[in-house]
Amino acid sequence: MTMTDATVFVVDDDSSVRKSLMRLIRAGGWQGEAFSSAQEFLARPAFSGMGCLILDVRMPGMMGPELLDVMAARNIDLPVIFLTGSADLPKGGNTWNAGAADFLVKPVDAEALLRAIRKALDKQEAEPCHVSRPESRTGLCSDLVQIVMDTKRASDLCPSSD
Amino acid sequence: MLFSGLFEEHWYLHLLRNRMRLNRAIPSLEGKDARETVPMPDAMGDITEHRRTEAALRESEEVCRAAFEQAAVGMAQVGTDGRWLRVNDKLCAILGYQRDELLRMTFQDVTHPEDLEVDLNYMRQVLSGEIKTYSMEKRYVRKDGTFVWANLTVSLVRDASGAARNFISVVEDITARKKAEEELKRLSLQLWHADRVAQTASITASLAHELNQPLAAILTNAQVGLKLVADGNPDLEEIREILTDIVEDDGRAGAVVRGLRDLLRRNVTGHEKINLADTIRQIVDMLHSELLDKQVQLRLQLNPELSVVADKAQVQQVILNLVMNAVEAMQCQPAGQRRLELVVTYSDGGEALVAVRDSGPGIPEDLHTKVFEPFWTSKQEGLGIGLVISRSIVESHKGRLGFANNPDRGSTFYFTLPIMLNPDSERQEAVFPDPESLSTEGR
Repeated sequence: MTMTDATVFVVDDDSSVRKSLMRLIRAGGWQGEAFSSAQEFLARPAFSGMGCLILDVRMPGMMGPELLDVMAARNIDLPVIFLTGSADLPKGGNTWNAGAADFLVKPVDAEALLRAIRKALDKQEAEPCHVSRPESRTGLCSDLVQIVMDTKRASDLCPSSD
Repeated sequence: MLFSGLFEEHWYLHLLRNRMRLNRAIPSLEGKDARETVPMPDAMGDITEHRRTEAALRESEEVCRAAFEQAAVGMAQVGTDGRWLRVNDKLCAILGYQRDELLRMTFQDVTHPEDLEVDLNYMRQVLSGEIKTYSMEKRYVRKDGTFVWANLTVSLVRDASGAARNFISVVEDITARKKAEEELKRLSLQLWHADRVAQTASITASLAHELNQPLAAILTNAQVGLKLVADGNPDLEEIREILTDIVEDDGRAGAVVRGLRDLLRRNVTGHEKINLADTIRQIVDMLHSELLDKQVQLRLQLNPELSVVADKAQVQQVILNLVMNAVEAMQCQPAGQRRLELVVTYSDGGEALVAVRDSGPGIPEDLHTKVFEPFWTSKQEGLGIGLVISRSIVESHKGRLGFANNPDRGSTFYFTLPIMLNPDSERQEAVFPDPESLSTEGR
């Protein structure tokens, strides 16, 4: 396994967060590429190597879960680690794990994120085609959008943990 | 003597009024008076005329004296140097001094230090003939050290040659009214504050997110830094960059906390010079994540030059109210068509104008009068007092709040505030005790 050849993509509209994540990725020994929006990421030339995507849930233009839909439609095969500022998304994450490799809450512990990246890359190596299931993905994403929209009202739900 | 004279005059005038040209109706109690007024056929007309003038004069003097002494308001003759020359009982009561004590003092001695300069300025203007009279609300310091609010009216008496003789001052105790006004103001401020707290509570999630982002970056940066150090032989330049970023993000988090503290501040620190563009930006920064959630596109058109003298928290509250209303109104539109525009510019009348323009459905004609009614609301949440409070806040700043439907789509809510013409000197010139008078300066 050539972990260090892997590329970790970051899509986050916050430049401070982006910059800090890129540092972490480099410190972890991977290549890093950062984008400030989903559209910017989609405009990138097709990528066929080993990698994963760290994706912010809430962004202007296109939300993280929407990007997941587009990626599925375009057969972009990358495991995704969601990052969100809200700590009030449901725990468990069985539906999440069907599509998203992981789901972490900001501020995220560096070790936890490094572990998640390693896990995502391992997973991609083990079952490289797991992302291409557009039917289930669409359902998942509309659920996801709904959950994100409802986060403010869902303060009584348990925070997800890493 | 005085008594008999008065008695006699009254009868005399009374008879005159009845066209009975008699000099004497009843005998005087004193012979001297009686002798003087014995009717003499030759001189009768002269005497009548003379007595009439004298009597009228004396009567008017007496009326004046009675009016002065028994007036329900404080009255005084004051020397051009400020010395009390003559004071009535009521004034003594208002100021809490004995008459003889007051007569050894000046009005400056009993004037509240903060109100003295204004009073003296007016006095100089009267003396120089610039103005004939003046009226002001001021505080006196009573003998027991408490303040009394008074409405003071002053005019100047000049002698035949036009030289200033003394001032006539009328002092009306308005403490009760002032107390009622202050109580009303206090209650208004409480209500405004409660609304501000409610407004802030409605954007808590957004605020938490704005605080969380820099904290997330700080944690990641710090942990990377620690890892680099732990791995040994760290690149010092990279460590320096990491620390620089941490400092910057800490500043960003601090700004959110400061903004929040400003907004929730209970005690009004009064009016200060604020730049409207900066003030709006601070609010917009706090709303960043809220606008993202509601998928609202924001456009700012802020003239950076416009400054006003205002209570910053209250102005931000008004902006927050209008923006949140606009965001709410646009939720029925498809996500791609929710456009919010914030404008700071000059109004047609040369005032500062803040406009919040949305692309929602607009305000239906039949609701145009309703939107400013308390407890009327089209929203699911909220009391429906946001606009009422916003309007009263703007009006307390001598501005106007209104709205209009846009020609294309949506509505624009706007408010005006008087512009500060002399931005660098407003603090030093603020001699008026009433903070509201500051906002009118430079109009």
